[in-house]
Amino acid sequence: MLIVENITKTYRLSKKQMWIENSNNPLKVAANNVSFTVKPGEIFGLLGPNGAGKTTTLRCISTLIKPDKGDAFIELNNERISVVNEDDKARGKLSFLTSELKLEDHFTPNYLFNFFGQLYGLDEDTIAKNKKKLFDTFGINDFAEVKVSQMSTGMKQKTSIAISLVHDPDIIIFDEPTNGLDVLTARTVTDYLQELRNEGKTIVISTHIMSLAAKLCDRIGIIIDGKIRMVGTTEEILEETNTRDLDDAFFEIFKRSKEEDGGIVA
Amino acid sequence: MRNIWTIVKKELARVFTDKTMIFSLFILPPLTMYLIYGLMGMSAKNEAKKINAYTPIVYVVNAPDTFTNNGKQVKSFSGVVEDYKNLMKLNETESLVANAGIHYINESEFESAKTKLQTQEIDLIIYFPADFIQVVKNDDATNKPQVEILYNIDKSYSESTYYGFVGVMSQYENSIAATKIELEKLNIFNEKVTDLGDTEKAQGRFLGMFIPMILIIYLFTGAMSVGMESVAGEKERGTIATLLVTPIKRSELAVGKIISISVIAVLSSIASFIGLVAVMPQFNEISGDENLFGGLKYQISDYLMLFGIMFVSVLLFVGLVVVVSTFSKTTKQAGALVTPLMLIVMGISFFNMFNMEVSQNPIEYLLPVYNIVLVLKAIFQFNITFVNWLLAVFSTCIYIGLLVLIIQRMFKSEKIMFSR
Ligand SMILES: Nc1ncnc2c1ncn2[C@@H]1O[C@H](COP(=O)(O)OP(=O)(O)O)[C@@H](O)[C@H]1O
Ligand SMILES: [Mg+2]
Repeated sequence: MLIVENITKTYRLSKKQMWIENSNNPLKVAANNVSFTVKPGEIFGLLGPNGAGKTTTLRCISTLIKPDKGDAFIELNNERISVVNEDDKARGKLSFLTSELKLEDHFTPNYLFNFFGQLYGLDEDTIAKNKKKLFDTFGINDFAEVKVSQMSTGMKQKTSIAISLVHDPDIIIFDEPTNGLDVLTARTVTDYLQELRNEGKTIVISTHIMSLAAKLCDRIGIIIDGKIRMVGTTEEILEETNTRDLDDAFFEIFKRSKEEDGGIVA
Repeated sequence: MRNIWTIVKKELARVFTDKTMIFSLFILPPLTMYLIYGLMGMSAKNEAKKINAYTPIVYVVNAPDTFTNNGKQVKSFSGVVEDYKNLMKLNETESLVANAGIHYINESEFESAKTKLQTQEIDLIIYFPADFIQVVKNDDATNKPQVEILYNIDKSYSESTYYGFVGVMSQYENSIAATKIELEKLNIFNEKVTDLGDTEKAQGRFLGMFIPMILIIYLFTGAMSVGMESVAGEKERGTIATLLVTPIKRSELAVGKIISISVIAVLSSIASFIGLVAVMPQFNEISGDENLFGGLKYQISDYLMLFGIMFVSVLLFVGLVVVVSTFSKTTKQAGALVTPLMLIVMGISFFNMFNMEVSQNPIEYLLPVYNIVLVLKAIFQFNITFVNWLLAVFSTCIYIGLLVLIIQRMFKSEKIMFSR
């Protein structure tokens, strides 16, 4: 189980960033008191527009950055691991996939899989077993000895996913997992995520694509301007907003959030 | 420990499976080292040929005639010169002495000869005091005759003419010594050598002074190219972030990086070192003075100390480069920040390049980077003491330790490791 409690992260903007953001406030609250819980065997979707704070929240949960406030806990076998205070330990239990994490051009999927397997402290047999399963699933065997520099975007993404799962983690955090992928590859990924859910993994994905969230996620948290505005199953959200599809629901929530924050709806 | 080793293996694989990197790190440096010094040696050889073909004009003032000492005959100075020339011709040895036009003049013409030397009309004056023979005969160890030799550094080949005639002078000295009762008194007269020129030219044999500087530049650039690529490069390409989500400790990652960069930089400098040793014989050609830089004269201990100081220097440079490149977001930025650092290091090694004296002050052997320059210089000039070497190596190790601590801290900082 993954329990996210009041994660808040403020970035200090450089002059250039302030100009890009069209803001004269040097502080940007990217995640604002974000809380949610994901149970084993569940896919939780963080749904929100670009810049809503999805990546920031997921980075905090996966220990890449430290939240200013709040924490996330990984509960496994009666053990509770704080990602803030026991980050080295937490990293061993979770998987994080995001576009900023790249693979070294010079190496092949085969080499990298073994390398990361070793960094996760796995023995050779386990690495070989996990490799077979993941490489078969994503069809990596065809290009297992091709250098990353010579691979297509799709091949790279598949390799990244396989490597992020090298240690068969219990908590899986994927930031926009289908971004930039063709329909077929995207389908492989979502199918595999469902398979993992059925195995009882705890899964969080982020996306800005409503249809993906509606189809894949058991529960959805709608995030706008760093705040979680609503959490529930698709049905619950439709009921709460009195709408017929997620697109309409999202726009309704967006309107409400602007009113709440005192802003003007565009 | 295991994680550190995993990182090191990956970094080494990165370099040793990349032909371009192998070439630029292990082949290019010794090759350029060899070529630069090889070319210098070749031009020194050409220069030596030209010198030997040169016809110098030498004035000899008050050249002693034949005289008898203890009943034995001493040849006239001009006779000794002729013998020397004939010997050279017999042995087919090229020498400018063999070509020299020698003019024998007397005391009254000494001043005008000096003027001629200053105006570069002639190359050398050998001045015997008028009472030379009498003083030799007196055989008083406290009052030896003083022979003056004058040349002009501003005139090409004037100094070479002086070196050429050093052989003639010792021949003459030996011929007098042979007439002495006590044979061991070989030093018959003192020589006073005067340079009438006023510029201090960087002479060929001082080229050895470049070695410490060139070595430091090689060591630094080796550390620089690997260090920038391995840290700033990985940050720029986002590949280091992938490592940051694995359970390895940041300090393990930092240490793994430092070790692998050091191994590669050390190997690269060993390659340079081999290039240097291969080209050592060329220094003889360049220096023209076998005592100063004749490769064979160095003892095993000198080589060991040289290797030791090179080793810690590389580690220090790696530390400096890694600090800078950890701080940078891109290799370009790292390059921009490393360049001034390199200029400072080069500046320090340039600092006392032309200073022939090597300080023996122990405090100076504690100053970072500067102590490396001092030790290198002292080794090449046979001036190194073990204590000074130890001070330099030990203090450098402390600086390296500090840098490693700084780097580990930097790797733990989210701002430094993961910002955009
Ligand atoms: N390292 C950073 N420094 C400054 N601002 C940042 C940084 N990362 C993200 N931001 C800003 O924080 C906000 C949230 O970004 P992000 O979490 O990437 O959103 P999302 O993933 O939902 O598109 C955006 O306005 C973004 O510009
Ligand atoms: Mg994002």
